[in-house]
Amino acid sequence: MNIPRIAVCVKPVPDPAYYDKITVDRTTKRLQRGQAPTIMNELDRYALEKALQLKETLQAEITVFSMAPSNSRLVLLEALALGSDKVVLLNDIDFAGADTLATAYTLARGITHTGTFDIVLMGSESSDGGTEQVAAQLGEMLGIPRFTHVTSVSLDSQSGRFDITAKHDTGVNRYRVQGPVLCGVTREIATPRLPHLRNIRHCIEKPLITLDSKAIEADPQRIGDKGSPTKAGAIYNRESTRQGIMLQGTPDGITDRILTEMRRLGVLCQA
Amino acid sequence: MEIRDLSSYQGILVFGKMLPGGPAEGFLELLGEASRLKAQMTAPVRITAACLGSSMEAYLAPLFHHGADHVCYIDDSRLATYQPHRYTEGLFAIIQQVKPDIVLACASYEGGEVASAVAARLKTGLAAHSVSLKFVDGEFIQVVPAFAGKIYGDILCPDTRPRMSTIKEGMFQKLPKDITHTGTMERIKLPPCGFDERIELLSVEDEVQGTEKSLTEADFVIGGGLGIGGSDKWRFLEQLAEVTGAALGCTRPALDQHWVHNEKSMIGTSGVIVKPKLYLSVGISGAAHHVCGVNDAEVTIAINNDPNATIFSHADFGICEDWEKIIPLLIDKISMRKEG
Ligand SMILES: Cc1cc2nc3c(=O)[nH]c(=O)nc-3n(C[C@H](O)[C@H](O)[C@H](O)COP(=O)(O)OP(=O)(O)OC[C@H]3O[C@@H](n4cnc5c(N)ncnc54)[C@H](O)[C@@H]3O)c2cc1C
Repeated sequence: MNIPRIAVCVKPVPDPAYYDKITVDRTTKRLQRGQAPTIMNELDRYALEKALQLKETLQAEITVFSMAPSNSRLVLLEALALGSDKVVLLNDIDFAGADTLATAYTLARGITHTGTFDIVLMGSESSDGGTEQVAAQLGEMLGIPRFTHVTSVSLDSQSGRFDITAKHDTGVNRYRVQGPVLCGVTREIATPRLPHLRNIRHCIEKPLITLDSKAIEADPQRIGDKGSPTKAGAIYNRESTRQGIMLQGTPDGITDRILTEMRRLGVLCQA
Repeated sequence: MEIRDLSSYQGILVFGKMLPGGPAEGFLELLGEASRLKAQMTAPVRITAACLGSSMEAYLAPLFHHGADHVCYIDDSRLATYQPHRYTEGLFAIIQQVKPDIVLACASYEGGEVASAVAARLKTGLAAHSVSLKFVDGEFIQVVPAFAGKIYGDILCPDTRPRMSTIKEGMFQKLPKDITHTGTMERIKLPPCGFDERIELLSVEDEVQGTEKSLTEADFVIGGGLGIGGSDKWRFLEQLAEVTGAALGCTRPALDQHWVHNEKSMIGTSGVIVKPKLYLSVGISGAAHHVCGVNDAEVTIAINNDPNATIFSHADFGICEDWEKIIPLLIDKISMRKEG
């Protein structure tokens, strides 16, 4: 087989460490991101790491795809600094408001336009939306076998076949698959590395290409808000209904208080 | 978007998992929710249970007893083990046959994966991990979490059918069993599965089902976090669970530390949703990804030695203390009561 070609899909997301501070403004009903910086979606980083490991053993070529606003370039530069060969940013005002279906369609167009790939890797879920839908939907649109919640992937370069382990509801299955194939991965797949100084310097020399809806010949009816069958209605905060009473006192007093509560709720088994 | 005749899509279809001895709990819970939706709809509505598997005909009756009016199923040896491409063909075929208005699928690894692929093929909307489903002025509204449940949003699907949702196990309640409720059975064939020549199933490993008390059913749940500090110390939580009859869950870092081995013990967005009468969290900071799994506990108590920990704003009773001063003493008191 020729040099394996790997596509990795990366989503820039607000840093999960700030999710406790994200709220909906009571008057404007708009989302307040609470200053959360944009970072690479955690599981996509794991997917990229797997791609980098395949590259190390098989001289593979890695292209990163991201449908994102142009202010997320830092995340994409990081993908280059980590060792990807090329980044394709899918960026167009008309991509805005995409649900998972329109996102999967746009990524599929971007990938198909750019070339052929032996394997597409991405996280099984994103930290912000967390729908766990895009991987399966992208696989469907690319018309290739796809697996999600994948915990390991290896490639036999002789036969071009992938050995894939994926979770299901009651355990795991192992498959041997003739590529091309798409894998949505979990954290078991690999341990992400930090960017290497040498690569950070080289990353600005590597191609970061921006493509819009025309460039990828996207059907205008299938992208962004227009191409999204789901429409977002009202958004609201989850109001905490908890009492927030701090129990003070000695451990003896506190444990008695816990026992009282356990008895009141009838959860202390009388075995 | 293509224009479709929306009125030709009718009824509610529920897709869940058939285990060797019968439908999974989550399947029955979704039938319960479908029945509640049916009661809100003006036109007569049929609830279909969609089943995929092999040699399962003898185990379908509970679906009727918990609300199904119709079971549409594919019984085929090729479906004996879950394989995403085959199950996608199967559910797609059933939906084409039944043409439902609404589809509810379990948000499990399998259910979520298959529902996503089928929604892509049908070019319709799929709301992820819905926590509430309702009709408001005739509109079907699916409420979903974002940012790990910090924010909720209404999802509508006005122009395409079916309107699809995935739902986590433990979110809704099943109906009490009614053995007089029956319905019709319809068996259809599995279409050819395109990728069969490219995919070889090498092995299937089924996890041994743990004997631990089920988190989703327990009245009392203890959650342990990274603040416990070591696997030797984790034993205290196990001991407390034992003497109280509680189920023991954990956060993701506690799982990563291998203090807990069963992945299904993790509580939160990527784990299970619990609804106990009492949730006691120990050494847990209160990240949104975790807290969203315990929102529906009746009462919550949190032990954390950091006065600024977020968990305290999600607690009915907060205890700002080193857990080692509290938990061992609590165990002693309970054990003594029992002996005495
Ligand atoms: C996409 C995604 C999905 C996720 N899904 C989940 C999920 O489903 N479930 C989940 O739990 N997490 C999930 N997480 C991780 C989550 O964001 C948090 O990182 C995690 O919940 C924190 O776990 P923790 O509270 O145990 O650890 P920490 O945040 O490290 O908190 C430990 C706490 O222990 C306290 N402590 C330390 N010592 C003591 C002591 N002696 N006595 C009392 N208290 C003490 C500390 O004050 C601290 O507050 C997810 C993250 C992402 C990005």
